[in-house]
Amino acid sequence: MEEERIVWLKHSKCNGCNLCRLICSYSKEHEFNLGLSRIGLSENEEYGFSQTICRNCEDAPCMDACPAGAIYRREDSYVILNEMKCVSCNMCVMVCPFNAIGTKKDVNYKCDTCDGKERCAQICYHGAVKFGSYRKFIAEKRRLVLDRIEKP
Amino acid sequence: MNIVIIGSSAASKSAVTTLLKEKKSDINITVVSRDSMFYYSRVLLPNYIAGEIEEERLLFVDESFFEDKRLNFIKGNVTNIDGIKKKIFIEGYGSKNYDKLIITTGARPVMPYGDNVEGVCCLRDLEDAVKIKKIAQKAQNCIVIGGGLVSLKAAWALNEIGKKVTVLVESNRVLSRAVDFYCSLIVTKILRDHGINIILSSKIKGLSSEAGKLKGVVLDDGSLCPCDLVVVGKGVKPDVELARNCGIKVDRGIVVDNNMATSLNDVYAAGDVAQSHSLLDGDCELFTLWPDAMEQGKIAAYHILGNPRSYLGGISMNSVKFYGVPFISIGKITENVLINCSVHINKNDVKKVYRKIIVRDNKILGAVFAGDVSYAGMVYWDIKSGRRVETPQKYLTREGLEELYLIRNKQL
Repeated sequence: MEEERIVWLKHSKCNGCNLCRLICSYSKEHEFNLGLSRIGLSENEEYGFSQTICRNCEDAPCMDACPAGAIYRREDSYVILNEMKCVSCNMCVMVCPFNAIGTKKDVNYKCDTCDGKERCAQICYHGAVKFGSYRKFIAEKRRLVLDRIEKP
Repeated sequence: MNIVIIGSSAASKSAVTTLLKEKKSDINITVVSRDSMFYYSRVLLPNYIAGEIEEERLLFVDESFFEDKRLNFIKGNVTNIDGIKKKIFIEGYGSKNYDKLIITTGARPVMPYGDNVEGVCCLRDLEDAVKIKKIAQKAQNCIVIGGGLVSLKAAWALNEIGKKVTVLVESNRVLSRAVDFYCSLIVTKILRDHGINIILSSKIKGLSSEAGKLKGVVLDDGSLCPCDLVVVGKGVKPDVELARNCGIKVDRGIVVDNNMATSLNDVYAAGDVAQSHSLLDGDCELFTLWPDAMEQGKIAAYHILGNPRSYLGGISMNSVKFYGVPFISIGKITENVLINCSVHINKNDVKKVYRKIIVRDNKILGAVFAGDVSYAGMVYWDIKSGRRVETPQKYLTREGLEELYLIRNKQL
């Protein structure tokens, strides 16, 4: 299995322009609609911007909860929701700790990394949206915690 | 090691996948089931009746699942278990030895009005769904008895294929165990708006039939509601006959410990047939939930592999969507638990969003979402982990939930 890769946000560089979300909804739904984006973005005075997107859990609860067998792990280890099989029962929404699964009228959707093309990371010219190894993501997270300890 | 699993649904699947994940070559798994099709999803049967999906799509495993060399399938009814010689007896097949046995026989529907009349169905197996579909082709009036999730989904499905559907509910509201009173009202309104006739507080005396053919449903006042098809949805009870006959300790379901082991050595039980307990207060409860069955199957498998993980208990949770309006309830939400609890409600009729949080001792006991179910998963994990709640109001708005999410996932 390849090294696990996920989409993540380098928060210090994000200015909340929503470009990643727009390209996401456009490439997936062919319309510029923030409500249909696989990426969520929220802002907080203390913590800045934060993304909600699939974290590709190791023991993914959505995979266990899906009674339609629509959620599975692709060869590149990414968790995929097969929209052809989904009946939108929302069982996955109920167990996803990261609010990464969105719902339409009769189908649910989540990030599939655009089959490895990661358009959100490509388009972000602030260098905030990253697509890369999980280890780098954890390293970045550690660094952030350190920063905060040093600068009270 | 010879592992035999009786049953072929959620708990069985998760046990099989967990066992096969281990790269041990000496594992040999046999799945014995009387199901006409192995590993189909019962949850999708209403969608099948409604004609939304085909029979092949009921499968919730990939075709590659059946190809593993370590996996064998036997179709048949298990008649007995010999716990001393470690053998099971299969009708029309003979006996089969096991080193470890997992019972996942699931539950059976309760049929208080009998089921030997033509036109009376329940909705549990694929055969039931096929039967309903067949009768419904010729039927005009359909009656669904019961106001639970299965009943309402069945009513929805029959309505989708253009039948005249009446739902008779004995209690004064629908989904009385799954959602709170306000959501019951919304669900009733949505279904009525789409042409399903819902009669609450109806007292049912029984069924009326003539020469084995259904005439209608008789109410307590003697009046007859004529119909060609009755779907009875009065809940399920664990299918414990087999276990009871072989001396396994049975209460409401099969009694299991934290590793899903039963009173008989090397025999495990998981899924709807096992009696689990509530994570929130330790009460014995029968959840009959898909995710719970998956977890129990996994835990039994891990114990067999010598890598035990404890089952911490289940949480009642329901998710349902009617005509595009989603509902999710998690934890204890029924009115009878509201002792020393504070209830926080946010109801927005303009946005058509409803959120409710029940808090006891600074911990969330239950949550209800309707209209907008985003962040329900985060609340589920908060309930499951017993997280301390300082500001319950934040759970009631989308902005508040976003903020809570930010705090949990600091910055990244």
